[in-house]
Amino acid sequence: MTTAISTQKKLKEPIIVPGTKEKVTDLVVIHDPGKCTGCGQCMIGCAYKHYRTFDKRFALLYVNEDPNKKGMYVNANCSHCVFPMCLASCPKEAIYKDEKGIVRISPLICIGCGTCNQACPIGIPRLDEERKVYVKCDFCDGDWPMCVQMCSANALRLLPRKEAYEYVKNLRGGK
Amino acid sequence: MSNQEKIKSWEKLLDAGIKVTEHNQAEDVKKYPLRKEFRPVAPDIAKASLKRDFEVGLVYYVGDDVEQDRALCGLDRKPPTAHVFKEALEKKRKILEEAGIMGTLGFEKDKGKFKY
Amino acid sequence: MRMGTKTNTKSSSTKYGYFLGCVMPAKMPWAEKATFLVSKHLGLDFDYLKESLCCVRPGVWKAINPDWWLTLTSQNLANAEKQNVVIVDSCNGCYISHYECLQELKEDPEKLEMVNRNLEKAGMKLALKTDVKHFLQVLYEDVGIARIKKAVVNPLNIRIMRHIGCHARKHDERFPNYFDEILKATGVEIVDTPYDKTCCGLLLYFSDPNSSIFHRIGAKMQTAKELNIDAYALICSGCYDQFERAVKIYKEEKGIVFETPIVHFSELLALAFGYKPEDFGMMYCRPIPPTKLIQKLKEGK
Repeated sequence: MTTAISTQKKLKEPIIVPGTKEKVTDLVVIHDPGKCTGCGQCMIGCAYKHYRTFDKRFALLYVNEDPNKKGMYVNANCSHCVFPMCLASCPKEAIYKDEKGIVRISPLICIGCGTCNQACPIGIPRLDEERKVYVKCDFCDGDWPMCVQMCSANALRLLPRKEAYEYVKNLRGGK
Repeated sequence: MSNQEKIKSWEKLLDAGIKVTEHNQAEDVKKYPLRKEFRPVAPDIAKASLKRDFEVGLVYYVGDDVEQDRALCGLDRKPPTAHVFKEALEKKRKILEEAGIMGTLGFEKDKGKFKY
Repeated sequence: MRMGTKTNTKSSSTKYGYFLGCVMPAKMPWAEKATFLVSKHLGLDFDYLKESLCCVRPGVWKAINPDWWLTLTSQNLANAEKQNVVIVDSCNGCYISHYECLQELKEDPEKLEMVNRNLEKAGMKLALKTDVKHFLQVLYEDVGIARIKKAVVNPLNIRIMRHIGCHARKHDERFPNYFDEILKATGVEIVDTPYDKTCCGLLLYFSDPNSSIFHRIGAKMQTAKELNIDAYALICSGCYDQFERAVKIYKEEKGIVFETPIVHFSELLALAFGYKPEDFGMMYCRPIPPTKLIQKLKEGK
């Protein structure tokens, strides 16, 4: 079951988990490699939203060709973990989880040491060459994330964490 | 293929975008070294197609050669789009201007150029 | 899951307004002609959506400003409403632009008000009375595969690869199946490859031209060459634009010539319905002339 456009857009308010009465703010973006066509729109949308450029190198999520499977694409995007490793590792306490559950890096405190990148299991935070601080996905500040909006094949979805866990489990064949 | 490989037609497209920009930031920085470059709302690479969109209403022109090809395929020489219906283009321009889109993009229709 | 309401329109009563878009009238006149031949042959009330403008390209405009994209796209919707037609798109980009715009405006009255405020300045109004359909939907749902099969008088004995395009997969998971079934109805043999799903790279061209040309189209065309395919069938004009661009770049900048002709699926339908290549100018205005394909089809008769 997918979450409809109208529900997906109301991120600033808690949303109902489909099929239940439970309301959550804890949302994650998930990627279905079986649907991804490698169009790169997610990265382009992200790069424009945060840096006003269409250059995908500025994006805060990454989609690359799977080296082991022809024509398949793999993705790495921030899950805004419940217990973020980046947050735990930051020596300057520049990383925090805000009231919406978004894990953010404060550019005023960050010293650009790169510990967060090392600590993150998928190396999400990256160095912003212009500002010399580490940057990462900020969930478009709680708006409807641009990557999900732009995805051209419905491969990226925004789901409550619980549902996302089930979805990914199904994608992996129940494991 | 290496990422450094240049694609001429892409470079041409980028050049076309820079050409329709009144203030070439790369040139400005040489003249005024303290001036910091910024990224305009319309990225250079998209400017050429945006300009065509504003001037024709669609991304491609229908010139004599296309008209000839269309006739060979048994079609009317001009398609029934904004290429023919100029009032549709005028309406689009009016919307672009009144909604503040042209202003924010910095497109000056008299000069046919982007400010930045 | 397909969002939005499904209209049970019947082909006999619905007036369709075919949206040409930017690429088709300028680069694919043969596809335009073939589309009209096919639709008239199937008895559809099919005409152009007149006064049409750029859709506008969602990949660029939505990223720049979603409100601008809604405003500019709704001009086409308002045109369709005035002409009392259902918009039919065969370009996936145009389809998604119109479909998502209509859907979003239906769901969000505030956005509709904003759009109408802007349209009003040009003397237009949008009441959301129109509908948007993909050409595949019109053929498969409104005409029906049985009628298409019945209309085939000249089954095509060729091997093809096909590329439906990313956006056709977004809201309706049935579209790729429609595409395959309609193609199979013409008698062609579809060859599956790992790159069938891969994007044409049009959306990536502004950002990363190398991957866009060499890793996307390059992989597809190389596979077509290796498998000795007779034709590469597309439906989306945006994808065609990118295929044509890539083929030209390969030829002019790399000296590599691909020989697999890139055809629109309506051309294959027209040929299967008994039309001759000359009827829609199949041999004109293309980077890879389909000479061998036409020869093979003539010999196969």
